Amino acid sequence: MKNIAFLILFVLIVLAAIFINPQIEIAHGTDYDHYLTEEHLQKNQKELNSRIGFWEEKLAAAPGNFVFQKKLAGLYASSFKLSGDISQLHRSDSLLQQVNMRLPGQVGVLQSLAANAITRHAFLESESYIREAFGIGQNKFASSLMLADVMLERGNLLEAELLLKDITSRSHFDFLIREAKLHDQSDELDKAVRCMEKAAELAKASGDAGVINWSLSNLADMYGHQGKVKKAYETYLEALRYDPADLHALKGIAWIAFSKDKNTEEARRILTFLQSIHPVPDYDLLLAEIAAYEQNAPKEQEYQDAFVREASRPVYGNMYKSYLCQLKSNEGEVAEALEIATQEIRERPHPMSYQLLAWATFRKGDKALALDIMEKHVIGQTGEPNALFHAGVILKENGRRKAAEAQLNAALGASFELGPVVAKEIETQLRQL
Amino acid sequence: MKNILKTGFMALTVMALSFTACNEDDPVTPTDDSRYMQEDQMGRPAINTVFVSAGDKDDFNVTTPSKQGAAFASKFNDKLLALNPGYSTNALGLDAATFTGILATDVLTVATQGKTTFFDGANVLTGRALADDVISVELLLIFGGPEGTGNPGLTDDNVDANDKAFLNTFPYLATPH
Repeated sequence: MKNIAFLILFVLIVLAAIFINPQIEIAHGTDYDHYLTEEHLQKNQKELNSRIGFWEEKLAAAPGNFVFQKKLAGLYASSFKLSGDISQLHRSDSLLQQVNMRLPGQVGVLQSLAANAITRHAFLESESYIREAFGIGQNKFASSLMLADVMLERGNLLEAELLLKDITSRSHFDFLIREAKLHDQSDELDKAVRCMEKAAELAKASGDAGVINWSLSNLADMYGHQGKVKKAYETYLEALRYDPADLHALKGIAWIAFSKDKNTEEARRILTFLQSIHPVPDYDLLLAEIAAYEQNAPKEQEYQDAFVREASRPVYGNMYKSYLCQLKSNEGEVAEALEIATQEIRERPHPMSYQLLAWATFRKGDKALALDIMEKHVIGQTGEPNALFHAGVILKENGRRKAAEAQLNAALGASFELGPVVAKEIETQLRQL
Repeated sequence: MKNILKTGFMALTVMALSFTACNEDDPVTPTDDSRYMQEDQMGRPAINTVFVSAGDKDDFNVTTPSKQGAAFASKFNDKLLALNPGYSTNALGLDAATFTGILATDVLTVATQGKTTFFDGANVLTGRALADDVISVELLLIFGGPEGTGNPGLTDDNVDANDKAFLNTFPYLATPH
């Protein structure tokens, strides 16, 4: 009898835990407040600057020395990742171009040019560099991995898979993270996570704090995509222990505070801090989304305008084109949106680019053509939540009720990733079916 | 007993599963012998850099020295004649085939007795001391002809010493500069 009483009590506790748990906030300032300081970033930047100074001095004494130019190009590319100052990426590129012009055909230089081009989202340019390096043959392992990167970005999953198959090496970190990406893009998120977990373990075995941080930060993103938000949060915190200046992890935590906890104040606090030390357009976009959730239309417009103004600057090239395209579609600037989508498809014939074109076409009012694009290039070819959402809406407006429901429900499954504003919109769309 | 059997069976299942990519049951920590790959090798300074073409680098770097001669000597010979079409013999009296046959086995020979030097006029390849002017020696052997006097503009790298003095005690290298 006593046992039964205990059993009932136990069941009640479990039930209570299940029902109360979703209300509990995940992100707590006490866990990460000590990272919200410029000090860590400054420390990394200072170290990098002293190395840049060292090689700049040597280059000044021997102008045109290609060894010094290559060293500096690598350091400026790292510095861009830290500071977000786009001019440093351009400086890196221009040094590499100088070397490549004078001494063409150096595999290392071509690989660095390709890597920078990927960062700039200039995927066609990147492909031409890395194919040249691949053709020369030296260090083919790295060239294969990078060519696979470009193929994944350009939506050519088959070539990426064949390239990776050729160099299969499951105890190699660099291979595993590509395999994770391939699974991720093939809509096999669970497999992708397992690859990334193995990569993180390998990184830990190597003891390299930078690599450990990178793999954990990316793993946390993937847990988020799986909807395992608590695990994502803990993994971001672990990543921060290896690199306290990991702004990507802090941004991830801000997203958790917003998307999961609905604690807009906390999310804004983190993002405002990040914005104050890292001048990239990204944060305005998130702040606009938070303002939208708070139904503060003037604030939303203000952040959105700031984002568009900054992200449209020619120095950023293609880097923010997909965001700009979607914003312009939603704002009714469809002619511009269509133009950007067409450019994006040229650069990156990926289902995600086609869904931009379909969305712009739909917003223009041509719902039949929008559906045609979706069916030919998007539906069934990507599991990206945004594509599922847009496909669902377009199917619905074309009277394809059942198919729309399937897409919208799948999108709703990723409501953490999409955020509460879009999640609410999906629910509205589903109700209208 | 039943438990032991069950465990044994599970272990077999795990092994069978681990052939698929990134399986949950895969041991996460790799075995030591599979974690490293040979990426590069070098015996005599700059020989791999100069004589191995970019397309052959990956292969050369993982070929054991005992097999390098057979695999790469003729390519080294082509490269030598491309660099110096007028090559006949060099200061060591080696014709192109013999010289590149030696170079293609890219090891650094060391005499266990006597003076250690790359080349000092009397001793040849008894090792390599830090201050040896190795690049100039190699240039001389490639471009200098039988007397070492040919192509005078190409036989010296014009770097006669390290830009900071070497140490007389361990680690012998100059301090960072």
